[in-house]
Amino acid sequence: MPSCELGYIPERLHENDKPIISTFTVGEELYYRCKPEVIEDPYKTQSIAELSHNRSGTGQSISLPNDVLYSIKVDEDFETYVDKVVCTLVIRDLTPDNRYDKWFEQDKNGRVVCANIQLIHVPETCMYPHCVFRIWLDGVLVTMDNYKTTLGKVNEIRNRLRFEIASMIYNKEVSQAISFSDI
Amino acid sequence: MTEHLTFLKMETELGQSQLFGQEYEHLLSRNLGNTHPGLHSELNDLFNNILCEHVGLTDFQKAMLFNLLFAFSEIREKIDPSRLSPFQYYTNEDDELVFFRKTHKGVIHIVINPEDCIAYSYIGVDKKRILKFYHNHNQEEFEGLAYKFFI
Repeated sequence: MPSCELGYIPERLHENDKPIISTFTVGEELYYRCKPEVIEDPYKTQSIAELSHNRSGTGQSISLPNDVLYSIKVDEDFETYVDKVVCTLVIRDLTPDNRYDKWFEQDKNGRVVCANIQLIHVPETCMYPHCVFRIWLDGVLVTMDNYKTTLGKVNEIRNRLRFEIASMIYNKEVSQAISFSDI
Repeated sequence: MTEHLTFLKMETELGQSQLFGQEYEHLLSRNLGNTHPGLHSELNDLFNNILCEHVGLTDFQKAMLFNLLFAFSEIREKIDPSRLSPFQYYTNEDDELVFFRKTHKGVIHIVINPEDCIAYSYIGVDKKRILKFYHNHNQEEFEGLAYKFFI
């Protein structure tokens, strides 16, 4: 396993041999790094694909809010994002097996298209607490590379997913149970 | 209103001509000028500004934008005009045209997608969440949408 070579990242955040924690806990916090204007208007998130957060852990702390401001990209010539702020989301409820795993559907030209969004712990070498909201469309993982040909083609589902993420940011909570009405 | 939509449709169809599209676009844009029948002058200016600032809007988005601003224009006579001012608009990386308004109760968005539909969303500080799609694009629908956006 490669070791973190960014000297400014505290040792406690290094992945080293720590395990992936596949479940989450009600009350656990997620830390999201964003531009200040996103707090005001949560629709201004850059992308809904691969939305990164840090998890706090519960009981034993995995990370602190400001840790998410560290740059972990070797090609960036700065240590912290000074122009970004931290948005803290609290996990309110989860599936019975302690995951966030939601489904959305859209009827498109007589065919039902399904999207699935999950919160997953994806440790980085220099950032063990790193998590992502990952999206699948009809079983295909949505990435920045295929975004235009997947989510870019299904307006309703894309709107539903953005609404879900915007709601999380605005209400500062992650909820498996909360849905939305259309009236 | 109807005349303008007919014009937009004609402009679109002629503009797509492979041989003479550019010439038609030039001619029609010259004739269109800066006035759009039915829109209050402020909203007329807004319509022109949005078209100038966001040149990549699809024909669907242009038509929906006009319908929306026409509805704004209609309801401004029925509600406090000051309510029409505090909103923002922008396009995002999904080429959606987004209208945003913040109130003490929450945030409201109207998303005009590049095609198919418009989405209205409301996220309340009380955690109330509303997401509604509009597919019919008739004037009653836009008037309802305009009221939802401002009230």
